[in-house]
Amino acid sequence: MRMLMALPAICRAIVLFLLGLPALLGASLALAHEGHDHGAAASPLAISLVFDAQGTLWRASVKDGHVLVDSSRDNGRHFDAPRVVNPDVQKIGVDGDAKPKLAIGSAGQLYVTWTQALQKPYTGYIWFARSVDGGKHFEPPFIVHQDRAEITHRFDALAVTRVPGQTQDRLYVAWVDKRDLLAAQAAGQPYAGAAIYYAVSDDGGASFAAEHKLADSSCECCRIALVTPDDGSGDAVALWRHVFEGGVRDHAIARFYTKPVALDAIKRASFGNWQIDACPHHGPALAQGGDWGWHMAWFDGGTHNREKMPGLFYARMDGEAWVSSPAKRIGDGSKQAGHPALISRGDAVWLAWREMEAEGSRLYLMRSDDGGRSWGQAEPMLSTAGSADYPMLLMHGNQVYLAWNTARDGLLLKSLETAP
Amino acid sequence: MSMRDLAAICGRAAAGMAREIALVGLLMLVSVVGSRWAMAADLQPWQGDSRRALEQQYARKPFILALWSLDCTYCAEDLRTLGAWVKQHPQVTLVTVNTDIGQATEAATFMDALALPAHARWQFAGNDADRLRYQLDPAWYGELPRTYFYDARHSVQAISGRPAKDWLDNWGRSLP
Repeated sequence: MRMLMALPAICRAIVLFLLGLPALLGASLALAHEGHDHGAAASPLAISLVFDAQGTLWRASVKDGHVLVDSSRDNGRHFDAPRVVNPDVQKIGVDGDAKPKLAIGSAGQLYVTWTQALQKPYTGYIWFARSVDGGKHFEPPFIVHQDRAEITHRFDALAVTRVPGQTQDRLYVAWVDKRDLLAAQAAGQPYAGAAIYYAVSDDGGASFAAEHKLADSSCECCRIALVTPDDGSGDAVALWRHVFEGGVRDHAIARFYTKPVALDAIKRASFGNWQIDACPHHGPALAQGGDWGWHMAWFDGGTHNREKMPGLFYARMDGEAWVSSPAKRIGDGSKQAGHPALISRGDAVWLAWREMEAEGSRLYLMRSDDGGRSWGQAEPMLSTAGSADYPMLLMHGNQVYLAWNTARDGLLLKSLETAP
Repeated sequence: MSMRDLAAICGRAAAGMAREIALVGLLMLVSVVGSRWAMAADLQPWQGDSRRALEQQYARKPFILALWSLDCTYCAEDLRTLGAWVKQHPQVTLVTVNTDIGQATEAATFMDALALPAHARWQFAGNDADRLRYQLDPAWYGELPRTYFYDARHSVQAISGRPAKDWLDNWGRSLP
């Protein structure tokens, strides 16, 4: 210090400044690191919601690298203290069509899946964790798939069912997987898109069997709609954006169970002929429609549809013949009608979507009382001035709810008419 | 030395130290502002009116506005194609916009790896990517890559997905 004091004042100042620089650099690197790990928003708006049999509303969300689960006994007005599902901080997929998934088991178990983004672009692992004590604690999470290459395993989807005669829940987890694309590239073979893989647990999520391929050539960046039909079969049905011949990004649908899926089990579900080498970030919605088949809603980019206009579409899909009804255009395409949600009970069907407004965005809702053959008018529902998640439709008993997570107005939950 | 002299010396020393501390503070401030400016120069914050501002900045000049994201599989190849193309067509300016909010480090690393010719790089700012997208172009639903080709009269062609090489060359030939 004495040597330092002997220097002229200006030199002393510079030396002191240089001594302080590492601390300054450290601080700015730490800031950059934080931005890198968690993004700008501390709490992304993309969440999952589900009611349990008692009417408690459960929520899965992401904050600071953790999947959190909390619950509300007053339809989302107040939530209890969240449980941390993954003890170690991870970068968790919450962009575009990605968000953590949450499902309720037959005895009130909570099942959660999410995608951990790895270091390389597009890469990830699908994680699973469960609570078997009604959400008090979560068991240690684990990776669902056996393939551990640092490649794309992303856009997890989760569905739960019961198999007659089986004491434990059956769980399906499906995801977008690029192992076949990379194998084809290594062999110098062409391969369009990614693949859909799935794994099944028949012990209520204690473990998962080795994964199977559902289909080659799926879209790389769209959510998968995965539903387990309420028909005692123990099967699952998935609807996803596919890459058909010539780079056409229409939808495919398949019914499957624990065994590998035959190629002819994959049926074409939409015919917009959107031809594009791009990531639409816009996956479909699917709901069971009685014993005849399925309700489907999706976005089409409009390069080749009849009006040459992008927009949302709805169609019925026959669950035996796998033939769909003519696609019905829904919503205002000039206001970016998108990101549909579907729910159904008996012949009643609700279809919700989001449209942009001058300030913020608004949800719209349409209802059908004849299994989707005819529809009422699109009704404007909730609106918000800031940023917002995509709409969700929930059911508790016979009561249907429209749910929406917004930046300005928090979680909005609107009760719709009672289902018949 | 009297106590008064000692106090005077200490007083002068203290005043000198205060000046030094002020100088150190000033240098630190300059370096923080400088590093922030350097970051801002690397990825400029894209806002609701940025497209209009860009159109004014490049008035009467052809330019390509290319939007991309980290999880878009087709974007890297598309950006490489556009980079190589503007290298051969230096009269056309390339501007890239990353749509991943809050991932400046990753976006910069991704772009650096592509080694494109030097150009203006932007990134969506704020917390509402959907709105920025809508403000940029209500007819764009978020599919990526999304590219806007401006000729010198600012007649614009918007393309979702990768433009074919032939299309690019034709567009280049159509430029006055």
